[in-house]
Amino acid sequence: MTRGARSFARDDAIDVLSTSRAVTVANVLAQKIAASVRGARSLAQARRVVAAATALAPRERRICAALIVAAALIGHTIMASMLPLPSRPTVWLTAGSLLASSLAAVAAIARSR
Amino acid sequence: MGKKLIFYRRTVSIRWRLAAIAAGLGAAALYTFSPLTICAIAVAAAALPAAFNGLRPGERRWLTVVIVAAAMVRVAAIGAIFLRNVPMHDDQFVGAASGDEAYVMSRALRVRDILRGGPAGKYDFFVAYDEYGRNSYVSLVSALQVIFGPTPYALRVVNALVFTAAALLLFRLARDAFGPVPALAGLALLLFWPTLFAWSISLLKEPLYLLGGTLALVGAIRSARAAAWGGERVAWLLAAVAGALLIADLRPAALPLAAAGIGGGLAAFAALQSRRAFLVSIAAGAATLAVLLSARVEPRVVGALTSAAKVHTGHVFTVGHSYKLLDDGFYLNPATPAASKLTLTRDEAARFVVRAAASFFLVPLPWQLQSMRELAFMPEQLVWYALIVLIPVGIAAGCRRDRLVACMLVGYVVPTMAALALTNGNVGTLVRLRGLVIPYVVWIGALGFCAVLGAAGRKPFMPLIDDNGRVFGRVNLFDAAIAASVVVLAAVAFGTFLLFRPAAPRITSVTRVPITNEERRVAGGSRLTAKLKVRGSGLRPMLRASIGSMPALGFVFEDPNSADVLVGEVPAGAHDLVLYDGVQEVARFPRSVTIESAPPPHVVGIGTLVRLDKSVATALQPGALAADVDIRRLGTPRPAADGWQRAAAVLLQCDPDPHDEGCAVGGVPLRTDPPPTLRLPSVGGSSMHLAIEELLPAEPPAVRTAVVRLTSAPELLNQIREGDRDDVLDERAAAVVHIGNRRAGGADVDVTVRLGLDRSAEGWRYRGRVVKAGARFVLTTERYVMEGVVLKLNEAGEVTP
Repeated sequence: MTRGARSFARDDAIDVLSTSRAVTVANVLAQKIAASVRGARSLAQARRVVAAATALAPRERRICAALIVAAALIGHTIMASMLPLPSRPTVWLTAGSLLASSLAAVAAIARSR
Repeated sequence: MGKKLIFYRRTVSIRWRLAAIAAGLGAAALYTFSPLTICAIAVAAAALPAAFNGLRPGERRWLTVVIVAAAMVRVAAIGAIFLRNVPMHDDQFVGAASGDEAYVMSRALRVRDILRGGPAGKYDFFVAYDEYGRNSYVSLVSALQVIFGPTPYALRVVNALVFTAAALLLFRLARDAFGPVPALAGLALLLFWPTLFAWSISLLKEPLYLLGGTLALVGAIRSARAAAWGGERVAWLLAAVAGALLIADLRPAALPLAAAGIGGGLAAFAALQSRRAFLVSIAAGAATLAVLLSARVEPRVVGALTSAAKVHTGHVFTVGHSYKLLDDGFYLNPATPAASKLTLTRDEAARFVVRAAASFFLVPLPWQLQSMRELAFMPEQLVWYALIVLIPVGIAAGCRRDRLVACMLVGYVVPTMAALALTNGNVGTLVRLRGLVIPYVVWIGALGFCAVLGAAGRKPFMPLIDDNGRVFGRVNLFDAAIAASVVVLAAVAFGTFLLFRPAAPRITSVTRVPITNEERRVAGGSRLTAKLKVRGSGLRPMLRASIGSMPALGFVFEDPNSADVLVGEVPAGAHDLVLYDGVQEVARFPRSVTIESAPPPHVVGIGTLVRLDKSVATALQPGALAADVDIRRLGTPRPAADGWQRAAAVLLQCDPDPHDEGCAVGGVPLRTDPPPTLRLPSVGGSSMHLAIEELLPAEPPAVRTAVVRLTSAPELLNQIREGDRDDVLDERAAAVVHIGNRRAGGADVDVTVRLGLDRSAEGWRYRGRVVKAGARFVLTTERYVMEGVVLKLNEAGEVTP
């Protein structure tokens, strides 16, 4: 942030906005939605699964990751090949991009630990 | 115990592995359903967190709210498009029903078919390799279709991502320059601006153009800002170059406009660095203006403006709601820009520039909106007006906070604004293309809004607003601004729309009235078949009329409630009378003009085909030359001084003559003295000339006999033979069928002739002359000319010796 912007970080308009009903309503709405998301059972279940997966032994995690990628690749190749010709992607290219993005995701997760 | 643990571990391990395989298969199903969407989501998940770097918790929350809301609304809109298109989904569907989107997708899918060896015709190759419409966006879309298959909806997700990425780049620039509040306000405006919202989920190139332009601008600013030559400056410079390359072929002159914008922004920044620099820049501007107005340069400037005006008229003469920037007289004759012969004087060009500048900011004014669809644009238009009002405040505030960014954001759009203002003429196009400017100035407007809000809340100079920024101590200023824009301004705008909009032309009656000499003069030689008196309301002098699909010869304005329509040649039947403003239909009166289907009159022209080539003269055969020209009889070819000639009897179709003075063919009256020479179509597309000598009715004659007393010298009378035939190339030709005895003195002889007669009001006529007892009769053969009188006309047609 530039020096000029830093001096305006505490903007005079904030005083007005902080007492605005429209802003208050938006803020409350956002907080409610965020709270709702935090308390969602489906997300809680997903978080539990992630936590349990994280607790697996490293070797087991690697095997599971490899299984996910392999199943996704094989599954996509089979399913895409079954599509009618006009709707079918170039399977080796989509499979390649799936493999690349999977490996990138695995690497990113590994790096974030 | 050990065995149990091993068994438990194995069970857990197998469950996890099965779950992993199931998850992989689920992911495969999702990925197969829409691989491009999954890739777009992955890219978004990787890239969007960068926008949150260094933000404070409050900012992060608000930014999350804005981005998530924007994403949800876009996903919902794409879903709605999908549902609306459900009935049209088949192998041939390209994801868009019409327009530029359908073109881009269909072209990309044709490329896909060709590259994959699918069924493709000649037209597919033509479209796929056509120079028209080729740009990097089409190439990108084609590549995506080849890789991922038809992706009409995932491509909308990609475009939404591209648009959001550009918005976030600008957000970070504005946040660093102006602070978090204006940046968040600008981001919210940008992501939810209706036209830009529609862009962002379209199949059009605009999101990519925005990203390229943003990269070029942000890259230029960031690289200029970088402390020293190093990785950061080089990276931003590369980003700027990449952005410039990205937009280079997306729009005509995109690169010069972007370069001029960045240059203009830097120049403005330099000019505002000190008072001396400001004065120098003022002097430089004045000098530039003087050069532009000098005698040597001015014609070039006016020429360039004339070219822009031609493009503008091209927009006006397209279907849709147009607006006009030139003087009224320039819109009389619709023409494409390429065919336009428009020329501007210095004053006309100046008026054009002034109107263009005003139009960019004001069009469409609330009372210019013509339909409910356009009325839906009114809220956006009001926000645009508010933005225009706030931009000067924002520039002042921006120059205090970060002069470089403020100058660059404003300077970047000025060349684009000028180009759009001078070349546009269609309201819809202007509203759409204004979206090229809004993403950059919206931050200045938001900053202006915050500055106004802050100033109003801070200073007690407004007695109506208290120290807490409350109007009358009750309503928060921000809430009051929202309420004012929604309730008051919208109501005022709608009221002005209802009050001041020009009355739409309406036709209440159409009646046929007699044609006068004045209309014949106005028709200027064109065939005028009717004059219609149109009554109604809201009629205007510059309207054009059409009878069905046939343009009328003229629309003669009398007053807003009355006008005359001059009708040229129109096919028989009942037609609508249609009024146009430019090319936009503004009024229609169904089946109000009835043209009767009387067969066109015909006449037989007796004369000589002249100036023929020998080959044409000899090859000519009786028969139709065209739909309205039919050779009935031909004489023998004979040479003449100017080529070959051949006597002919030709059936000709007359024009409907407005003067009612006889037959005219192709506008040439036939009953003139001397008779005219007509140009006729000929075999092989050339033309030939018929020198008219005599006109006969087209209807078959009544064959009769008459006794005629011919008088001449005895030597001449001796030459008369039975079978002698009058020298006219028609079945009417009188033929001698009986020669009577010479009368005493031998100076006359009574002969009986068979001849074809035409009925007329005065009785029978032969070759135009009345045939009755005592009437003069002339018999012309190749050997003699003989005169006499008719003694008796035998009505029954039998020969009487």
